[in-house]
Amino acid sequence: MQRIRPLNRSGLLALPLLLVLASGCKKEFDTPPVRTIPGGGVVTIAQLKALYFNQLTPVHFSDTAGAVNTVYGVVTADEQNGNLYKNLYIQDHTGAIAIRLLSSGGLYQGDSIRIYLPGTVLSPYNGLMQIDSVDVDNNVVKQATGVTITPRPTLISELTNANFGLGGPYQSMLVKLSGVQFAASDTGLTYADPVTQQTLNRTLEDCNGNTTIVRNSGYANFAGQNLPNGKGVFTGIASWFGSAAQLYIRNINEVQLNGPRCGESTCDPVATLSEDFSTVTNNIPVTLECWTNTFTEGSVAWRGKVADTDRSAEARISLGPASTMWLITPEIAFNGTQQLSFSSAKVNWVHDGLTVWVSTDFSGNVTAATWTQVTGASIAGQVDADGAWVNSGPVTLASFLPSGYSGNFVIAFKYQGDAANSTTYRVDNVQVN
Amino acid sequence: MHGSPFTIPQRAAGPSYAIWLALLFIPALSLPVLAQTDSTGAVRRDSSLLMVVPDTSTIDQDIRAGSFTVGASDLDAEITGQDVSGILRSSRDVFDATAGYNFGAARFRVRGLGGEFNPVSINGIVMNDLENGYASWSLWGGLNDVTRWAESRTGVSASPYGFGSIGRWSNIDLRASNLRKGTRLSYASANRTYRNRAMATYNTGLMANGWAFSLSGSLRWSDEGYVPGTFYNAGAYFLSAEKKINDKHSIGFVGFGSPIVSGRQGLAVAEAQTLAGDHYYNPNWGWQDGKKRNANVSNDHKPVFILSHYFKPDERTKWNTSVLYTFGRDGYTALNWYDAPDPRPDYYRYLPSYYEETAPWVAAQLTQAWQNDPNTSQIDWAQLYFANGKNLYTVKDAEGIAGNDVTGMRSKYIVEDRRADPTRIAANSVWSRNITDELGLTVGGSYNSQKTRYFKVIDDLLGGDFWLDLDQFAARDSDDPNAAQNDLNTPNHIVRVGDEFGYDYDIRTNQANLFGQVDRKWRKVEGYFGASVTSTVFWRDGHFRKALFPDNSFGKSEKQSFLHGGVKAGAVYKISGREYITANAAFLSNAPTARTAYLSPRTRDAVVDGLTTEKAFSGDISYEARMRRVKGRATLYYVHTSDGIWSRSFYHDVYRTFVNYSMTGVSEDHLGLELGAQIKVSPTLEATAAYAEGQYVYSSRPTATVTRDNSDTALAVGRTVYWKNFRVGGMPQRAASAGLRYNAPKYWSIGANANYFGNIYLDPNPDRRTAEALGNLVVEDPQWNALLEQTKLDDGFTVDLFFTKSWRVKHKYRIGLNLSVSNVLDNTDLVTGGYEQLRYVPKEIDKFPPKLSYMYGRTYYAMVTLSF
Repeated sequence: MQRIRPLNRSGLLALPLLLVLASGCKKEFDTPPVRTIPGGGVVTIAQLKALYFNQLTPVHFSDTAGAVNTVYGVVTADEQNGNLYKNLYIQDHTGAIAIRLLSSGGLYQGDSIRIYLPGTVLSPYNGLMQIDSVDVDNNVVKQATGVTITPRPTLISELTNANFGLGGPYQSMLVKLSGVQFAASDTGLTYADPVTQQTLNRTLEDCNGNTTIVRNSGYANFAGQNLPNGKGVFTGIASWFGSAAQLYIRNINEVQLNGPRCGESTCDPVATLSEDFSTVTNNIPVTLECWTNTFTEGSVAWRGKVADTDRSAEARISLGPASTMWLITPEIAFNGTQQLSFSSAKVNWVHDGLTVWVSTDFSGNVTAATWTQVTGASIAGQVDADGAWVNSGPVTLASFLPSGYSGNFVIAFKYQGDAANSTTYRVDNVQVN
Repeated sequence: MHGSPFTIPQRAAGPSYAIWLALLFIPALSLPVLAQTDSTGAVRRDSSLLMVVPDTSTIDQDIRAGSFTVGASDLDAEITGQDVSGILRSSRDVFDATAGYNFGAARFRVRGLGGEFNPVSINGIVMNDLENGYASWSLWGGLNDVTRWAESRTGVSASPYGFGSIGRWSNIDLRASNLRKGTRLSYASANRTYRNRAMATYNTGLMANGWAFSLSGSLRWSDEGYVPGTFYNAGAYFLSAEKKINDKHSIGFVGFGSPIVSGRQGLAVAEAQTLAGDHYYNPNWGWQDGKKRNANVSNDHKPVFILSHYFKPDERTKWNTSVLYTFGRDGYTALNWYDAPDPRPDYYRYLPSYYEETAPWVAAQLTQAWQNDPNTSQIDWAQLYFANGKNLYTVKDAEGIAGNDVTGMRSKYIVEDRRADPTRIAANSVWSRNITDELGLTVGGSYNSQKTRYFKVIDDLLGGDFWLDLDQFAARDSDDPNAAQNDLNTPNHIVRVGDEFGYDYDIRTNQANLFGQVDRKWRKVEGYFGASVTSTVFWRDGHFRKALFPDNSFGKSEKQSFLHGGVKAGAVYKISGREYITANAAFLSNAPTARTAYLSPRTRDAVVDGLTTEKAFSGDISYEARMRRVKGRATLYYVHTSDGIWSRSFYHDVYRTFVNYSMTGVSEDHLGLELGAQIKVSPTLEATAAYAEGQYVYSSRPTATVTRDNSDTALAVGRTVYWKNFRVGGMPQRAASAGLRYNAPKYWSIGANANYFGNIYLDPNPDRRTAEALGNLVVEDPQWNALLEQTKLDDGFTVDLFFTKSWRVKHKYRIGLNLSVSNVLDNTDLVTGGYEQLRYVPKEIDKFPPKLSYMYGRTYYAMVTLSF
């Protein structure tokens, strides 16, 4: 017995040592039952805004039977780049509205969201209609991600009180301004002041001298970048403050102001071409940088056409005298493989009036240049519906240029018509790649 | 008896024990828990902001019992025959014992020094972490039965184990044959960090067959500790085996571990404590399904294995060699969030004071909510689940694979596990010889190699589907879409529970040391001289390529090498056999630790400019008496350190990033007095007194460099910090204790101690003491003093009581009862620590007030022991 006693005693240790197993286990917690956010009482953004104008005092939403409860929209601008803070914009097919958040973060551009309105307040702030006190966690449900909203092509001159002011149908929409540049007085500056983190206004102008404000936060991640010096396309949110519009950049890559400034014309040959005519004005002759728009017969050239939000170039003589109109692209450097594509549409067909040509020696005078007709492109004809866009399909340009050619060329859209042959033709989305 | 599984022939006892013990070890080692807490009461990472703050959660009775041996009577009984020459002050020292037992709760520090000056060794191997310099007593927490006999000495002294340092060195002897034979079972009930402790220990002593074994295990647990929302769940296991091969050689093995899972306390500002009506208000927990859930749970388990060879070539010579291996996990969880409101209830913008000026009605609402709604004053877990469960998100090009778009519920809030897993091997060999009866020589060497891997793991997605591994501070500040990537090698990394993310790097440190010591005795004088030289190399090895720092975040960094060492000398003059005068002095230099050397190790391998070794000088002179009725010591000491580095990081919500504040050229002067006396008033009545008076001040104008986690551009370089003569904070600089103990002849005793703590300061925020902070203020401005004045805390007074009783049963069993009540007067207003927030607004200093921690109120500890 004496011998085994130590062992028996050490057996006493088994209990606590095995209990060690039981200790140390971390407490695991269940996932609690998750609440849901009620729906129902849906309105569009336009209907929502109307609620304010019905009473002209702030609308406090509460969760009562039959009340307005829900609005849907797609986030068009978020806080990711720091330019907006506790602030978003959403848009649906009827309009757009600013959202003021209780705390920053959690919603992103492209999120399709449902806002449960009780607890929030609808009211204007200095002319900008907003849904205030939105709690991302308690008021918002995400339906989908990655939803794209097409920006509304807009001219600076359209940024008026009637359009974008309080009650204006387009307030807070995502807009795209073409042919614009930062004012010469600003181009030496940065977007904002990242050191003092001051928010600053910069002036955007078009070639006709219309101006508007671009407002940039000192916290934006592009605050310290220099303003671009050129002219081009600007996409952003058309917000409103007091009596004037102010634009917010939602993504710095959507500020593409790289072309020659107004009045400058350094039309160097381009490698590719993409023109959607989004800067044209209805019934006003098309004036595009480095393009040639002219006529060799009659008295009218190609004019802008705006159908709803769809913009294009249009050749129309409407029973007028015989006309020949030329819309000629900038010079393009031939790389051996480029293809042309474009869309065309017709209205009131009586004849095939649109043809496409290339020239390697065009230098401003249409009649002095040598033209070769481009064939094989599908062009709107008798069978197509009025105004319906017909895609040309890709046309390989090498076939219409001299073999082994390595210089520059232009493409011309030529329209010919007269009082009897008076079909109207439109051209859009001209692409050379 | 035949056929019994326990019937083993004596000869086979050794190996069978080994098997039996191995069986016990296997389950223990496979525990799902790992890692450690720093129980030195020293620096620790803050749960939320990676800020280094003192930890309150681990100061408990075990640590005190471990670091300073328990009650004086136990000591007198146990530590006899220890090889303590008159030159060496033993742990029986009255001041040391009193300071350890009665001052610990107030975070008293010996001579005001940090853990890097207090080496702790086991079987001669220094256990201090190479990367931060501190030894963690929790590594062997719960093994009090075998570790309680630590030998320790304060100040510069001779040591048979190594060169030591200028604070206090301790050595724990875990050699099986040195552990007192017998069995000891105990259960303790308490209301401190834990509520229950069960412990069992069995030591064989050296058996006739040349084997000695020691086994120990314990459990400590509480569903809720003294502080609301904290819990404690710990086990511990220990095995020591030794085989005496012959009279000259013995070999031994020691293996132990102490898995601890505990919910921690977070420090809060006074406003939150007042609103909650509790000085122990803990912002770390919230209700979930009717249970208190703590967001900050530390989970440590780092088993240690030591093989030793004890060689005694002759009666005058000893040569002990040990190798150590340790590994495991050190982690603590914390909330993290992305693009969402701060979930912590005590975030400064959720407190009424934030709105008092601008929106008093909101402040009033918040005050109401704080007082009535636990989802305001504590974490609202349900809300975090709710938010996560509906945050639909599409990750484009996940894992860097074009077109790999993943849609799901992206967690906005998670619980992450911040890990610092160490792996270490160490070897040490010490040879000593009494060349003559008067002359002794000790030489030794050691080698240490440590790798600590820092990384984060998803602990809980809180109802979401995944977490996207992006750096939100970078995302805000750069227009480069890739800038936010934590690892460019795996961009847009989607992580789920158990996946590593955030940062992932190793800190590697290698250290080699040689030391020697000579001691000599004359008739009236004994003296010693020692010297040490150490080579330290450390570097960072990054496993992630951080987008903001692609060129200095991935792979091995440049190696930082330092050669340093020290000399020490001391003497004792024997006035008589009972009175001594001793004097000691040392000068030494230490390599900077990797923890302070790297500016922002989470993101890159940049180091502090002008890295150099820290120098320290220490000298003391003592009078010591060992009369029949009176034992005591009086010591005057002086410590000067220079070229120190001070570094902290904190979140700055204006810069929207982590700011790293590093100072070089930090000097400190510590001048002080230690008095301790024990008087036998009568054969049964004993009085003790201890008094410590120190003046610990910063004594230089350091240079600060301020950097950010998300930029290489420094916020400030070469900023002079004017903090000469500011007090070193976080500990009482004055402490006193007086006690009486009555030892009844019939095996019981009762006693009381009264303790006083004073001159407690909060460590100064250096940046408030710069010309830049003062700006254009003039001396007459009220803000001038508000900025500069150092926070001095109130003095405090506590009383402790204890009672012990023991019985002998059948001359074989001893039953012991120990009962102690600390802070009998229930003084809950004694602030023992905290810190001035590094985030501050110069002209509104109250906007970011200090965070404070209080000494526990009245607590008890009751233990029954059965030993035989």
